[in-house]
Amino acid sequence: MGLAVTGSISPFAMTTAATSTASPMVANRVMQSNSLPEAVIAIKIPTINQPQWLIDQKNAESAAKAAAAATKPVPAGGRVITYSVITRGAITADVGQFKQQANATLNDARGWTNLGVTFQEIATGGQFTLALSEASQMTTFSANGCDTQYSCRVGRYVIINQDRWLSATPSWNTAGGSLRDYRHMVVNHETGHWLGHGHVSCTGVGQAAPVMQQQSISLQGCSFNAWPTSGEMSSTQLGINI
Amino acid sequence: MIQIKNSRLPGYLKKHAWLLSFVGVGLLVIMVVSIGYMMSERYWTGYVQKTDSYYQSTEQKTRDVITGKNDNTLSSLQSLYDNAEKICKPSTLYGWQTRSGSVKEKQVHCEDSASKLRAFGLKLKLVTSHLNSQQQITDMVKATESPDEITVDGFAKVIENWKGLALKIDTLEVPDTMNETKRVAQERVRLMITGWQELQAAHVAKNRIGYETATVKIASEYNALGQIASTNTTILERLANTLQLSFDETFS
Repeated sequence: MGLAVTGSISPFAMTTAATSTASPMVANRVMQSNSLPEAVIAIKIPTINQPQWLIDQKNAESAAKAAAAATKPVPAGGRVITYSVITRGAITADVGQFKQQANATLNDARGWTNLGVTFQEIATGGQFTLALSEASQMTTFSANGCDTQYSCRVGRYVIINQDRWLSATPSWNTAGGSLRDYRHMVVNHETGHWLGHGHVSCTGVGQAAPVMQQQSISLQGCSFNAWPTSGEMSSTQLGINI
Repeated sequence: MIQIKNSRLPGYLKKHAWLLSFVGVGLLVIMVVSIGYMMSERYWTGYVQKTDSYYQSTEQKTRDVITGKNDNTLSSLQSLYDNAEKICKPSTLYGWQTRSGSVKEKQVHCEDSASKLRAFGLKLKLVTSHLNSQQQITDMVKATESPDEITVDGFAKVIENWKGLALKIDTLEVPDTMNETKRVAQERVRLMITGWQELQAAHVAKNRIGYETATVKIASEYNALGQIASTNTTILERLANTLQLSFDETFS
């Protein structure tokens, strides 16, 4: 017969009683150690600068399209949208060229004229004001709505940042976009705001970016596009929905 | 000196020598048995306290790591569970007592609990092995250079970087739970290499359609890298839930 210890208390009875509270989130703790998503997300697609041969091909194509567009007549009987041009701050850009190129963009057959409108510059007043502003003066239009880096639209003012007009953006330039195309894009984009459009996102990798996408900031996988897409061809400002 | 005169004691002792010897031996046996009993009782009380303490301590350390009270990793807990077998091994001197009685009952309780700890330890090992392997792939991915922008001159370097990652993943030995993540990683990296190679070939051939197609394909492949993480997350969630169940069974 063995020398048994009296009593039969479970060695772990106290433990069980003391820890019967809600169990800790073991699963959560494990998932906190899931390090792969962060590492994978950190791998960004690099901006692939276009080779010169491709830039040359695209420029030739654009020139051909522009030439074809120049011969297309303005829609007869369409509404005329009037606007005036002002400058603010120290302007070093060629204002005459600014007026001429902005008007050409606004009346380009690839642009907002497809709403059935033509844009006519007048000396003062008009339905909106196209402004060319020194970068440091941008915030005088609106401290919240504008910044010194990009262009913007505030009420009736469609404001083009002189720095962007003269040199586009680094991402645009490194992607091989031409300055003329950038000017088309920025005039169309800011005028698009006046027409009633807000910002939109890229609709699919590899597709042409909507002109109302903030292409100066990120392409989101889309390709640069200076012109409003067919899906953007409407205007709440003018009450036009094609 | 005290002298005992005419004492009857020697005669008495002589006469009852056997009886006295018997009583003496009896007293000795009772003493030995009593001491043995007390030592045994002390040993088993200590045994219970020791095993109880081990269990409590293991649970507390585990909870501390899980709740973040302690910065140690989950794998730091592994040895506690691997050593659980040792807590129910009584010394040879007293081990024979576990064959019957309340000591046997205590031993059974101890072994049941050690068995639960071991079971949790096995599940924990699956998770920690997976996490260790996952970390290796994470480090490899992080070490892969990914420039913000690139010109045609950099295509070869990018292809070389991705090929380097492919080789590292191919030669990585992983636990069974990581096989699927590894397979997806191998597939995605190979397609990435193909995309860049196609872009390079289109550039050399000045093939605009091929170039633009490859650009779109590469963008798509960068997005698809997320599949590596999502595959791993699905598996890890399954492992985590299994570990949670085991924890609840062991400590609730």
